[in-house]
Formats: sequence, structure tokens, C-alpha cells
Amino acid sequence: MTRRRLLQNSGLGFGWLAFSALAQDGFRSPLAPKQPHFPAKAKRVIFLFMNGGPSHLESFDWKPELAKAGGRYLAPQFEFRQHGKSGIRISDAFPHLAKHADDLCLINSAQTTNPGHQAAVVMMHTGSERFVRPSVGAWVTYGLGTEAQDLPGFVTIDPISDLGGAGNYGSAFLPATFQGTRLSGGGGGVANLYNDKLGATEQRRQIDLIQKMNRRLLDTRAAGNPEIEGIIQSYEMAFQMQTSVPKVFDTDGEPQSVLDLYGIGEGETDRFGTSCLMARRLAEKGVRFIQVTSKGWDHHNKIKETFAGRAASIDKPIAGLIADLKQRNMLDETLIVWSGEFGRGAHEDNGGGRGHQSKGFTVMMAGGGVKGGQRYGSTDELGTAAVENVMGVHDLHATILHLLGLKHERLTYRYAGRDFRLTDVHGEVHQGVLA
Amino acid sequence: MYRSHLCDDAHTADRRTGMATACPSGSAWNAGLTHIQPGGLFGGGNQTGNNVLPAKQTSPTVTAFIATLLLSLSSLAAAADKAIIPWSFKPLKRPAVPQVSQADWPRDDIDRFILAKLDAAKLTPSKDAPRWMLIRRATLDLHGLLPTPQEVIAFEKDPRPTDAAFAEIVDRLLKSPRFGERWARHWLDLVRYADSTGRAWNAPFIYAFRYRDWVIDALNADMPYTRFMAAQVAGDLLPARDDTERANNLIATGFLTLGSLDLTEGQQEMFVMNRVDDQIDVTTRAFLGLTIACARCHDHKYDPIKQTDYYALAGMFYSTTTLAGTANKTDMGRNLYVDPDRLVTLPVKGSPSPAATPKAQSGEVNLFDDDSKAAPAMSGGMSGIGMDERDNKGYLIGYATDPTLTMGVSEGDIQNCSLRVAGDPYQEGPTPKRGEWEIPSLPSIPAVPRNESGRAQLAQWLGITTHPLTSRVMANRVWARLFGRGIVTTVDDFGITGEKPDHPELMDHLAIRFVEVGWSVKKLIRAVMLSRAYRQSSESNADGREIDPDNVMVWRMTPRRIEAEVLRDTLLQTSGMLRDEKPQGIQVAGSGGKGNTARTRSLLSLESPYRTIYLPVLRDLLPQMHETWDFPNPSQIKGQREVTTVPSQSLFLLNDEFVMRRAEEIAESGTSDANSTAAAQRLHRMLLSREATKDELADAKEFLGSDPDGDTLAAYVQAIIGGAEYRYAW
Repeated sequence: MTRRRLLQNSGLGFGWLAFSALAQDGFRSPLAPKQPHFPAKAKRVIFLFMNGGPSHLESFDWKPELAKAGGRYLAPQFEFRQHGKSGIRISDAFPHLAKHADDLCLINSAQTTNPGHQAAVVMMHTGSERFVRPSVGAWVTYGLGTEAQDLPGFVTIDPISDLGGAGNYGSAFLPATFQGTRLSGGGGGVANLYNDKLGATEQRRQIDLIQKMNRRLLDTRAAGNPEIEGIIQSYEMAFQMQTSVPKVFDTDGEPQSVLDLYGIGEGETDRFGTSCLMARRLAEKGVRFIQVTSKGWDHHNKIKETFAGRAASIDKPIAGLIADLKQRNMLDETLIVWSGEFGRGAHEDNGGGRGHQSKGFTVMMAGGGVKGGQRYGSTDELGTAAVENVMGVHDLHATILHLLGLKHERLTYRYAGRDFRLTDVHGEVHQGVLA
Repeated sequence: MYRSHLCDDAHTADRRTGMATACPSGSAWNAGLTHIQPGGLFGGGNQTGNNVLPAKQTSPTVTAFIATLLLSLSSLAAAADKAIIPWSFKPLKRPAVPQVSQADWPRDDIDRFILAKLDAAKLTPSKDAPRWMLIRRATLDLHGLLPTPQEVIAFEKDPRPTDAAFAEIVDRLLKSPRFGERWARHWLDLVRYADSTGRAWNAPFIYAFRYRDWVIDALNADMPYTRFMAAQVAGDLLPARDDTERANNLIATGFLTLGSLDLTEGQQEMFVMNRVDDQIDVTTRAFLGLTIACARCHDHKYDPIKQTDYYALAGMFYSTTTLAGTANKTDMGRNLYVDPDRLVTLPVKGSPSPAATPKAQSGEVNLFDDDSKAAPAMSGGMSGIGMDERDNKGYLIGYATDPTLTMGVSEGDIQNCSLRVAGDPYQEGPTPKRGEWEIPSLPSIPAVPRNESGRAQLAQWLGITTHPLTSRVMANRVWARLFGRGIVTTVDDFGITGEKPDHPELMDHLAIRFVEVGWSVKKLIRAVMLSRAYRQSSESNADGREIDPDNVMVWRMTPRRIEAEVLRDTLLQTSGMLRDEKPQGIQVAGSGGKGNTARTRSLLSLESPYRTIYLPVLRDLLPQMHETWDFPNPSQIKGQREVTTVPSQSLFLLNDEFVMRRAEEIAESGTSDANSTAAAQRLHRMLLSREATKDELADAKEFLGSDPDGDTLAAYVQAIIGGAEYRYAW
């Protein structure tokens, strides 16, 4: 029995009994693990989303020519030094991440369709800037189910509430059970996990009655109503989360050395570090898709100071996450994706800042099935647009699915008379990213 | 940071409708190659859509050639774009009422339009909903509360045909003050209503409640929609018969003051331009369904709105003094960011009314002629002048309600507003005259006199009978509330990026009808609710699911998830805790920022016995319940809420103290029930508006036993509340 299996079983308690009972009713959880289309290394995704559009020119896209360009151009504000055996260059704003250079794949040729925040954020999360479409996390969970039956298959920590809001972790026309469940970082977690009055047995009895009523409704008045199905599943999940979530959030068992790894307890890294640790703990429990959001990357002014601050808040936590996954032998089966909604322009915007740029930016990947220690693709010499191995958002999504063993053309859902997919009619897997 | 402000907030499009109002703001490249639609010129070859750089390495010459070609193509496309007029700009056209298959089904022309489409798709309308379901649906829709068991039974026993019996119910519901408390919340969603500024300081808007109460009163009084709009945009300029009416008009302009602005913004002109932008955004999106704020930095990318048009409108608000009771960093007074000196003074009863006399405009119904019907009486919040509360350092922390103060606007320094290049407040371009915009196919705004801001003319213009947008947009909002889906699904976007109407004839029929009933919102609601379409059962069927899974054609009623407010209010109602009155006066404390005394906070909690609309809406500080049940972000303009189904909702219903207490109270009220069957029957009637079935009675018996104790009964009540049935208006 694997460690994960053990955790799962011991964590279930009543939930397990409940599911057994349901199974006898012919109920099969739509979240049950499913086989991928082909064997793959990555079993799950940790998506680190940097809202606002972090500058590739201050992070992972070394542009020596830009430093010399002068005129209206703003030189990169940080030194880029070589790191690791691979010798890839990373900006001095990320001293901790740089130590993992050989694990990082810097996709310097990312491109999106629209340089406005709203459209680009929604595009990055759903593959469509205009229509209501399921989010990447919902698609992945739909495609693979989840190994953690007592936790949602898709968890998003501190998501943004605007710029598409819940749609960025929504399920759209996919069954509601695949939508992301929002957790608050910094240990806040989930409200209403405890009931002072009803014991587990009593509450289970109560839920059984609720489910009986719900299923009756589904058999009669609400036949075929996916929202009612979603409610039924949400009750089972809710019941189990009462025991599983506190376990995820109980970091008492974490040694100080691990907390230090993430920068937990240090002012600027505490929040994101805690979120990254949560992500690792959720990953351990088998959650399929975990998103952590960092805000405040829209650096129109004084990018040297403002970017440095944001970078410091995530540098150690992400480096810690990589190191921690590695020491648990989980890095090779966990795909880490770091991205904003777009990048920033080579020209100076306001005093010492940069404007939005959709035509070229950097996505960073590490872990499961990714070829580390490389820069993949490139922008032109001033970093204004991707020119080599251009990776559009549909390509990025196709590549993520591929790393998980899913063919993006085959991962479809029939709705309103046609088969929908995450990549619509586009998307190309970039082989160069794969190990 | 100004660009982030613009594109974070000006484009918070409706999630549910998915309208990402694309605004590629700011970036330098944008001036060149723009907006070739994905798959447009290139037949979808490049998956990155409008980024037209070739995906593979190409020789510089070829690249240059392509770039030139693209430039010329894109300017052609841009030129062609200019000719594209959104469907909604075209004049209202009275559609012919179609012939239909079943002559005895329709009750109204609305039904004929619906049925004609269903006929064409070979679908049949659903049977009528049972009476208990219909009265429950209507009461939830109009009051956001449940019908009492007595009301349900009376309707079920009413021997008259449903037409007559139901009309009486709808009329009763529309007459009740509970109607305004329900529908005002819809309006508040749309106008980013909040009791605090949000952002860095989050100072309280101590007098926002007056605007909220005005909306409730205006809807209850069925104020004509033209007047409703005019009061919000230019109430300070409307003539008034007496002080009460004048006070109400001033309060209505609170509409323009509720923006979420960063009070710590250090550049005054930036602060001013951000406020102007908020005022443009709320005015044009709420009333017109247009995202004119997109044109702050550049010509609108999709709709035929130029940057100069934006600044022609901006001049009106630039010439307006906005008094929100807050100060910003550059001119902060003794009270930090909360400043009661920056408020509008209301006339004291009996004092002579200062005559507001903008010139009457020709034609149309003239709002500025003083012949309007009685305005709603001002209510609430007028008692108890006391002393403000201060902490030991002298900072203001609690507020006494002053009956003479409100948030609102007045005419300011009258001036045009110069265009700001790329939205930068300090880079001025040409200066368009106030109100002189050239949006093709829309009526012109009446000429703005030299000494007026132009808001009066704007208000006049919004209410033009033949205005193609205002009546359509509002009629669609009413329809969307009652059917769960707008005829135009993008209820806040009637522009090019919005969806076209599913039912264009019905859309115009409703819009024209709305105008013809004197812009009476109540009459429009009544007409829609008395249609046979509204009366349909919500039961699904295989044909419908196959042909029209989203129920676009209305072959049944769509079950609609109840909102956070309805969940809370009905639980207070059925547990006997809900009070009819509103809380009196200011219900927020603190002055914003950090620290225990300064922190902005609500004086009311979920446990307070008032309807949810009366709980202060503090930005970034919403109660967990609101978040869990998809209450909209109060900084956003949101004509349609999201509906999520997540485990945290189930956890709320299982474990939240508010729910558990209400369940106990409801259970206690039934201690006299003879046995479990009687209790179950009574509770079904009370909570689900219907009788329990045999199966349900058997379940109850099993769950409750023969002589249930209070806790078991409470657990049973909670189960009914937790069930999916309670969560929807069927």
C-alpha cells in the first residue's frame, strides 16, 4: 500500500462508508480516477498564476540587446546570470529559483491573443476570451478524475474575484462537480467545516435524507438537470471535506526545516509560501489540479522596485516547492506551470514601467515530463514578440494535457449538439518542452 | 498604474454571459497591427489569433512585406469596422404578431411570439405549473420570500380560472413594499452599490443607504423608468414640487458617487479622471448596455464609439462636483478619508425650494417640466441627530445620522474635458464639446448650454421615446430576471461583442410595450408574469432537452437558483425572525484603513432581523455567506449573477450557525404537532409550499421516529432546507 493510498483510506472514515453505500445504489463518482489516453509522467498540475502580466524581461527572458537599445526602450532592470549545469540565464530577482535552473523549462515564446487583462486572463484559464468555457482545471479533472476522493479534484487557492471571476475555475457546461473549489491561502481554508451539534453518525443520517430527496427530485421534476447532480456530489464532497480539509491545513506535523524551505513565517513570503505548502499537501493527497494565484504583477510604473517586491514574495516559496517535491520523489510526477496572462513591453510606459504585451512572454514549467535546464523558443532580440517556436495559449494547453497523458483532440465533451474541447480547433503539442 | 485601473475595472465583464469586453489597452504595439479576428484573415491558420506575426522564422524581407500587407489590410478592416452598427442601435421596429398553432394557449402577444418559435422548432410548450408552484415562483420572483401556507392553499382552492386568480396574486405582490426590497437589489447589482469605497483605504460611504432606500421606494412607487434614470443622472437639476421631492432627487444622484476609487491615489487629476470613468461606465452600462468606458484610452475596439465621444461625455461629469463623503489623499481633511463636509445638503422641510430651471427641451416627455406624478415619500434614516463618536485620539469612528446629508452631486466648474492621450490624465489632446458625440445611428444629445454640465441633457436623451437602447436594455433585464436568461443573454452588453437577441421580434415587442405603458416597470413585469410562457411548468422533457437544451426558446420555465438574499431572507421569514421595517440610519462604523477603531465595519450581522438588502455592503469585507452564494463583487457592474454549485454551499447548509439556528426556531414553532406525519406535512407546506408525498411521509417517519425531540426535528428541518428543491425557484 502506498503512502498516498494509506492516507486516503485512513482519512475517509464515514465518507468511505457513505461512498460504499452510494456505490450500492449504482452511484459512481464522476471524480473516480480515469486512465489517461497514454502513459505519462505527470499525474497532476500545480498552476502558479501571476495575475497582472509579469515581465518576462525582468525574469526569464534574457535580452542583452534591449540593454543597449536606448531611446524609448527600457533596459532590463536586473542582471541575468548563468546558473546550473545548463547555464541558462535567470534574473537576479529570483536568486532561489535560480538554484533550480536545471529543472526549469523557460518557454520564452509564449503568446496570447489580447493584451487586455480580462480577456487574457480568461483566455489563459479557459482557452476562450469571449465565451463561457470550462477552465483548464475542470477539463483536466474531467479527463483524469482525481485520486483524492475526499477532496475536490480541482482546488484553487486565493483566486482573483474579478477579471472573469469564478469562470476562471468554473466548469461551464461540464458537470458542476469539476469546477474548482476555492480555498483561502494563509491557512484560512474553508468555512463551516465543523458542526458542534450533530455527531458524524447523526449528520450522515441527515445527509442521507437530503440525498434521498435530491435523487427523487432528479428522478422526477429535475430529470437530467446537471445542477442537481452537482448538488448531490457536492454533499458527498462536503461531508468528506470536514475531515480531509483540516488534515491538509494542519501543518503542525511539518518540521521547521520544511516551513523554512517555503519562507513561511518570513514577512514577504509567508502568504505565498503557505499557499505553496498547501499545494504540496493537496498534491500528496492526490488532488488533480491545484492553482495558486499571486496578484499585483501589473507593473506600469517603477518596475525595478515593484517587480522586485513581487518576485521576492514568490521566489523562495516556488523554489521551496520544487525542492520539497523533489525530496519526496514527487517532482517527476507533478507538473508545475508558472505564468501570467501576458508579458510586458520593451518600451518604457510610465516612469520606469512597462505596458502590456501579448505577443511574446514567458511561461515557466518544471517537473513531470518537462525537459528542464533549457530556454525553449524565443522572442525577437528586444523581446517584443515571440518569433521561434511560438507557443499560443491553445498550444500551451495542448502541451499541458499531453504531459498528463491526454490528447487534446480526444478530450471532448458533447454539449448542445457538438463536441467541445479545451483547444477548440487549435493547439499543437510542443515536443521540445518534453523530456 | 493608471492603465491597470482601466483594464482591471472598466472591463469586469459579466462572467456568466462570458462577455470578455476585450480592451487591449495601453500597449504601444497596439497602435499598429490590431484586431484581426482569430481565424479571420488567415483562416485560422495561426492559433494565436490576432497576433499576426508568423509562427515560423521567415526572412526579414518577407516579414516586412507581410507586415506592410497586414497594415494595409488592418486599416481596411478598421475602415470597414466603422460601418458596423450593432443591431441594438437600429430603430425599434414594431413586429407583426405571428400566427400560431394552438390558438387557445396564448394569453398575450408575448405567448404568440414564443409559440411561433416553438412551432417552427417542432416543440410544444410545457403544461401549466401546478398552482402551488406558480405562487411560490411568483412570490420568490417579486418578493424574494416564500408564500405562506395560507396563501398557497387559498390559491389552490380559488375556484376561478388561473388567469383571474393569478392576476390577483401578481397585483397583490406588486403592491407590497416587499417588491421594492427584492427588485432594488437587482438594480444595486447593476450600479456597483456598496457602503464602502474598497481598494486601499476602504473608507465607509456613510450615507450610501439613502440611495439604496431611494431605489427601493422608487420601484415601489413605480416611478416611470425615464424619471428613474433622470433622477440618478441629474436629480439635482430636476424641478421639484416640494422639499421632499427635491431631497429625493438629490439622493438619487448618489448613483454617481458609489464608485470604487483608490483614495490613496496621489495624483489629483488621475483621481478625478478615474471618477469620471466610473461615472461614464455605470451610466452607459446600466442604462445603455454599452461599454463606452472602453474608449478612455483609444477608440472603442468593436463598437462605433470614438475616443472623442468618450471625452464629449466625460466633460459632463468633469463639470460635476461629486460629493461622496470621502476625501482623497491630495485634499484630506481632519477626518482622514471620511469627510462629512463633502456631502450634499438636503433641504429642510418647509424651506423654499431652490428652483432648478434648466431649459426645457423640445419634444418627448419632458422630465424637466414639473408635471410628474407624486414621487415616493422619503423614508427612514431621518431620526436621531446625535454626536459622532470619536476615539481617544479624536478620530471619527462612529456616526450620528444627520437627516440633512446625503451622497450626491451638484454642478461644478463648467468646462469641457480634453481628450487624454492613451488615457494618461496629464497628456491632453483635442477638446470635444460636452455632449457633442457622433455615435452613428443613435439620436444626438440635445445641445448643452454653456453654463451647464450637460447631465440634464443626457438625462433627457436617455428617455427619448425612440431611443433604441434604453427601453430594450431594461425590458431585457426584466425578462432575464423572470426567465433566468435574457433575450439578449449578455444583459450588460448590447454592443458588437454582445450576443444578438435570440428572439428579436419579442425583444422589440417588449421594448415598445415598455415605452407604451409609460415606462412602468411594474406594468411590464405584470404583463410578462401573466403570460402563459411564465406560467409553464419547469419540468424537463426529452424533446426539449434534445432540441433546445438551454431552453432558449422557452419551452418550459427554467428553474432558477435562489440568491444569497433569498436564502437568508426566507430562513428569517419561516423562522419568524424577519421584521418588516428597515434599520434606521447609518449602519457602518470606522473610517477605513487598519486598526480596530479605524477598520470599516458593519453594525449589522447575518443575525440582524432585517432583510439582506439592508445589510451594509462593504467592499472586500463581504460576509462568508455572500461569497459562498455568488453575491456579485460590489465593485463590478453585474446585470446577471453567477451560479456556482460547490461543496462550500453544502457545508454552509450543513454547519453554518445561522442555518442551524433558523432550523431550531422553525422546529420549535411546531412543538404542538401531534406526530411526525403532522410535523412533516406542516413543514413541507411551510418550506416547500406543497404537500408531502407518501414517500416523503415515510421518510419523515423513519427519520423522526414516533416522538421526535427538538434536535431531531431541527435536523429534519435543516435537511429540507438543505435539499436541492429549496434552493431553486421552480
